[in-house]
Amino acid sequence: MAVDLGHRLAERAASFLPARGETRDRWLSALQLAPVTVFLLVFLVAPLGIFFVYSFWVTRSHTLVAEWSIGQYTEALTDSVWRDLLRNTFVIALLTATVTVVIAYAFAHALRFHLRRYQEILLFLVLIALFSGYLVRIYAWRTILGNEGIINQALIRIGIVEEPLSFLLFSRSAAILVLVNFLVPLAILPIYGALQNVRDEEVEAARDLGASAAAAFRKVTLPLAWNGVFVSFAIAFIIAAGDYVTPQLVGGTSGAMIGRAIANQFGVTFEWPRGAALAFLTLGIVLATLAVLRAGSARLVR
Amino acid sequence: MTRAKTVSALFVGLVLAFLFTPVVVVVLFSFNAAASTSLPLEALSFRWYEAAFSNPLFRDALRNSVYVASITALTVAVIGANASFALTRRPSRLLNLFSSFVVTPLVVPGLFLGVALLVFYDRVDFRRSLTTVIIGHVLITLPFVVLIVNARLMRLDRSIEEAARDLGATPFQTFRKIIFPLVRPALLGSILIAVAWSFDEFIVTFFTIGGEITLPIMIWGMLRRGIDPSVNAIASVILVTTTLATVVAARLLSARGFIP
Amino acid sequence: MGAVAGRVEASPDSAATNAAILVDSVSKRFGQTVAVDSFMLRVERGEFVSLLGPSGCGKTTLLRIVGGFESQDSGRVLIHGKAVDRLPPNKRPTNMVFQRYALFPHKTVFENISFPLELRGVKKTERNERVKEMLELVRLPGVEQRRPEQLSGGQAQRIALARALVSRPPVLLLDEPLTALDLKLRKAMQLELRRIQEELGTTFLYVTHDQEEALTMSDRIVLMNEGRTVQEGDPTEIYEHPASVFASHFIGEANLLIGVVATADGDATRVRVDGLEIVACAADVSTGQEVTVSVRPERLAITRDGGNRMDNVLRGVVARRVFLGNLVRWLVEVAPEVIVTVESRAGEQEIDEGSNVFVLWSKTDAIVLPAE
Repeated sequence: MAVDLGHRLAERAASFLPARGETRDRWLSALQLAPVTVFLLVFLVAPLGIFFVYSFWVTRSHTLVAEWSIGQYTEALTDSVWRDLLRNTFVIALLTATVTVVIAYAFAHALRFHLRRYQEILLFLVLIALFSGYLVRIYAWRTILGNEGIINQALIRIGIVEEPLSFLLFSRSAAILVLVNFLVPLAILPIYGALQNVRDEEVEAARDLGASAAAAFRKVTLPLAWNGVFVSFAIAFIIAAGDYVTPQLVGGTSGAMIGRAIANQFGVTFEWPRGAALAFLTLGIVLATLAVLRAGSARLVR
Repeated sequence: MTRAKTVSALFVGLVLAFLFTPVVVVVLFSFNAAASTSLPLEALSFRWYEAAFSNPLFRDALRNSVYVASITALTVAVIGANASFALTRRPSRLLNLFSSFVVTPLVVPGLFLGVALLVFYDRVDFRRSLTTVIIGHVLITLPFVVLIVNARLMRLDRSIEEAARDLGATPFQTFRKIIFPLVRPALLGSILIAVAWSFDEFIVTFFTIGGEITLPIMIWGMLRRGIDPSVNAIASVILVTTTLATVVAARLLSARGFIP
Repeated sequence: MGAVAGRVEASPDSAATNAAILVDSVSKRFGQTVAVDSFMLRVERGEFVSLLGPSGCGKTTLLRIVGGFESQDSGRVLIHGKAVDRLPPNKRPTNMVFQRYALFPHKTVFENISFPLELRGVKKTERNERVKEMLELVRLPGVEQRRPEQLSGGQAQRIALARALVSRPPVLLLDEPLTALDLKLRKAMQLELRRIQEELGTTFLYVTHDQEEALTMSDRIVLMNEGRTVQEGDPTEIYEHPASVFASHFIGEANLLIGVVATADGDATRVRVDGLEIVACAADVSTGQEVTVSVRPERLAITRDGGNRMDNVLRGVVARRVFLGNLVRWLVEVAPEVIVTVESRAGEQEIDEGSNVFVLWSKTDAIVLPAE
């Protein structure tokens, strides 16, 4: 196998080095870490670095000019178009992340505490759902929610409404629904992992000492699971804030998000610096929000 | 306690239904004889699959998707596995930091990565092609492989390694006969996850692809252009592949594969 | 911190080739902690030697240094006369039995045991034979096709032993192999290990913190504390003549009475302990010196009648009586705050708590140790 070969070469190379176990180990490790380090430096750090630099440059008549200015950032923050878009994005992202985490937590909790015998197979299903597509899902929801979609057809046929409900698609709620649908499987995993660390004995001990079910949950289970919950929230929040396909396919006007605008800057509109500035601004706000939430929640969940 | 159990079962069922609804819809309509997206289905047929497979564009896209997924898998296996072995060899704070570094592509939103790579390739005058797509896929799937193989290696009882050396094995023999067989399921499982992810990847691919297309790119094009029901068939092809890969990966990564 | 009280070779070189293991002034530290301190050890061929001591005394570190899993900071190790310091574990003529067995989970029992033979290129027919031989030696025939996870603790331990012995190593190192087993199984395995060692004639270097284990199996015990040898000798010698409070405390139980020497001559030593006068055997101490007198509980006799003529006769009240099945212990208060433990076989005496008794022993059973 290729890994075999790689390891053998590394060993052969390392055999030219001191025989003493510890130093040889160190050289071998360095050799084995070299490829990944180079790869990440060249294809992750460098691009992000250049991208960052670009956010401080400008474009003039469709060419990139290396003129330093923070104009893109100020424009993004002052122009009401961008401000509204950013605000809309964050509202959607926060709502999405919250709903996602609540559902994910309830699911993981049910698995861990009430449906223990089926844990493995249910988790298996979650894993399959996770890998069952991104683009495909979003497109499928369009089919389901549209005016001629399944839900509307069913409602009309049963007679609950006469006209199709148009707010189901191309709206903020559609965007949130679709995002949640994609993110829940992903969010379940960290929470489930964290709940595995909650030992039954600890909950039982709390109950034994007089705590009600709710109190035991709040004082024992929740603090232990909190890290997982926060990681899930952060993942959902970041992905939702940066998504550009969902708003494009199902968001409509009220579900417009900054991701789409950023993507556009790199398409026909050759506004790279603006795109870069918007991107980093979004990321900055996301990280800042998470930091604040982290600090705030740490105090509540003690 | 059975009441909690029933409520839980109901809730879990609802959530799973919610998660699988779009999947079921897509697969269902891929077999729809009619060209509409309304229920009930009147007749079933393979026509959309036939249409897809006879479409040379689809065949190209399929071939490219398989190519990209395979090369990604190979690359990520070699780079990632070696990194994992190095990271878990001896505990050290430097290496823990490094592990976090390797995982950073997961924290950066796909849009970011895609656009940053686009900008980068332009800067260094590197023409976009399937190779640049592979680079993006490797970037995203590397954390999976490293995390999963790391977890497996850390659960290995070190004394097994010492026992092998004690009984006469050289370091290489120890690796080949003892360590690698025990790590192999986790490695294979994580590679399959990489394959599944790569097959469906759109976000980064969109920005880093050149003139060719992969299956998700093809679907995107079809969605922009209007209603072509064979989209469902193509999407189902992706679905089957990723589900298969995931099922096998889950089996490999399940409890049995984790005995130290 | 006791002085070395056993025999130590002054210059090992001349007789080096005869010894199975020779550890010459080996030291090892981990950061600031000294694990092994200028350690000397000589194990003869075919001997069963136990390194005995509390956790952290350095015994496992020393074993690992001999096996090649740690490298010492200074000193050298010779096995069968050959210096092995530069050799990795796979090149040393030692094999190790690990505390947690370390069986290869992806291989069957048969494959586990034949592993060392495969590495040496032994032919298949011979491999089969030798594996079978080993399984019979450890009294587990027929489990060849099982996997480690299907074995019980005792079985796994025996397979690990078989695997370590199949290549007929001259020296076997054992790192507390019986710790994870329950009491009954442990006792049975102790006898098994001794039987196997005698049958094969292999040199065994055994690490344990269980003094009973060491006493049961060893030809010789090396008692360790804080990286050094405290005392060395065969089980009887160490048990009956502990050279320090640590030794008498660690091996077996002991009544320790701390006092001051009143008189000392070639016949006996008289020690003042809390208002009592104790007669102990002769020792190299001087009047006024602080000492500890050590007496084993089973060397004390307890009786209700007076008129005894023993070197030591103390009056006391039974504070507590403990029934242990085959033994009975009485805790007797012979002076305020001075309690001695008397032990004897059950059924021999019927003495209850609260009784007034006499505790008797002869001076030869009371050992004088330097105070610690």
